[in-house]
Amino acid sequence: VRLDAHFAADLEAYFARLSAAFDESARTGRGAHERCYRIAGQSIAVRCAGRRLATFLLPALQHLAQDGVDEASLEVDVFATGMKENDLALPAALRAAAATATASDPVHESAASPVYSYMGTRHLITWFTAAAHSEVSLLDLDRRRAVVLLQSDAGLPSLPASAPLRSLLTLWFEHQGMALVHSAAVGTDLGGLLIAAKSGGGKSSIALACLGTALRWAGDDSLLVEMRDGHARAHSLYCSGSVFAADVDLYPPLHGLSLQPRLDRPKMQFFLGQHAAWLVDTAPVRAIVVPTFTERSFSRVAPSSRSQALLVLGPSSINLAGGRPARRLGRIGALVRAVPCFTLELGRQTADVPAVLHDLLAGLDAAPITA
Amino acid sequence: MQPAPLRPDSVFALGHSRLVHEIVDPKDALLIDLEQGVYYHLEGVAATIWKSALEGLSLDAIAIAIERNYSGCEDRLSAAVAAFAQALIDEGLLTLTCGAANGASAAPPPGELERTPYRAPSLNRFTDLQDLLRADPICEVQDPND
Repeated sequence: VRLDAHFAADLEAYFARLSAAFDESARTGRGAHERCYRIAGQSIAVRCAGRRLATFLLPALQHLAQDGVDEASLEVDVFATGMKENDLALPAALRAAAATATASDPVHESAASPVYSYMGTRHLITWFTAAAHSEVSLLDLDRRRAVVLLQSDAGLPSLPASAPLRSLLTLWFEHQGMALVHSAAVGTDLGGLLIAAKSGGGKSSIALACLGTALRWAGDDSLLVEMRDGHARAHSLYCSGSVFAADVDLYPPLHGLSLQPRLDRPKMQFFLGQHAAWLVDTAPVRAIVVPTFTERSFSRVAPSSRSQALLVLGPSSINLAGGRPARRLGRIGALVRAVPCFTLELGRQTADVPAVLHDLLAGLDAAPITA
Repeated sequence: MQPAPLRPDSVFALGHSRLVHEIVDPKDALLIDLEQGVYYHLEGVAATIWKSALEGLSLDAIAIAIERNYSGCEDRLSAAVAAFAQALIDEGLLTLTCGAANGASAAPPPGELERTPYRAPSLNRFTDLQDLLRADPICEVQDPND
């Protein structure tokens, strides 16, 4: 018995129940706020139940907003409730399957917020539950519609989300053959560089150093990568970024932005949606750059091995936002095989980084360099 | 109970289902153990042993593959390959399968034209992302027929 067939009736009923709950939430929240976004070449329509939810969810996607879409590739309805609305919980059969799948796994028993993913032939589902917050995304591939339920004890945070709908978008775009990677990216329409590093490894600093320069920002933490005919293309997901409060003065373009403390990290958060000239939505990946901190006076790049890039990108990307780990790692492997890889030896200051990376890109245009 | 010693005709399989791996090229592999939150980088001979083991080669056939692809192999190559395979088993990365009895293991592929200098295999083990890999695990509910 295929799981899809086994759960078909449950999933269909659950989708209808969530959709009805969204409609009711939109009605009581004074309407659904709809915006369309051009993400990774597809039109994604997002309807939020209530203005407050839209204010929370949509700023990080603002740079990808588009007008006048006839037909969206995916329509997403999002609503929020308190944690105690148990009638909206996942079908028992699916929860039981998840429990069975993890019953022998001690890691899962002690996990604070495991991300579950179900990928059937018609429905894709991702969900996680933390102490005071949970999120369920149910996607119907036949209808190309999704509904997302956010549940929280304390209501929505006052700060906008830095990576809204990431689990849902990951499932959808990975179903289309792409991969979510833990990386920053900068570049132009003609070519971009993926900046691959573990947390604290310099991704945000490099993206910030390029802000307002000829190298435009595609993201500082997570991006979608698409492989087609052996060529890699990076797609921006979010225009949110973060910076340590003590470092704000190092980056003059930040001075005109609204900076707010992040709830989950000791950093300040900002959004670049009003600064389209600083941003690039999509670019062919010309190289992967792995930064290292040095005591050199000046920054420089040097050819590196593909395995070095995979060693950074693979482990730090594989556990992001649900999905199939083996499939994602395979796609990241294809990415590192497709482009040259470099080490960026960061000098004591990052002011010279944009010029160094710009020169690297220009050199790649003239004569591709391989490690 | 002591585990059975490896034999020349021993063949192997992936250690467990929450282990993912990517072979960058025939002599370079990344392994991520989502259960333990540990990842490994195998280079050269180590990567060839890993790749060959997953292709169904027996311990003997793996040693032949190493000889064909690396120059200056050590005299006790079979013992070195067996010791490394045992280390992979001890880490939970490989498990013994029962394919040896009927002699059905795969044959070693032909060697490369230009052989790489032999260096004893080693297991590069990384635990720096253990919290990340273990604290927020992905629990995949997958269709068994998929």
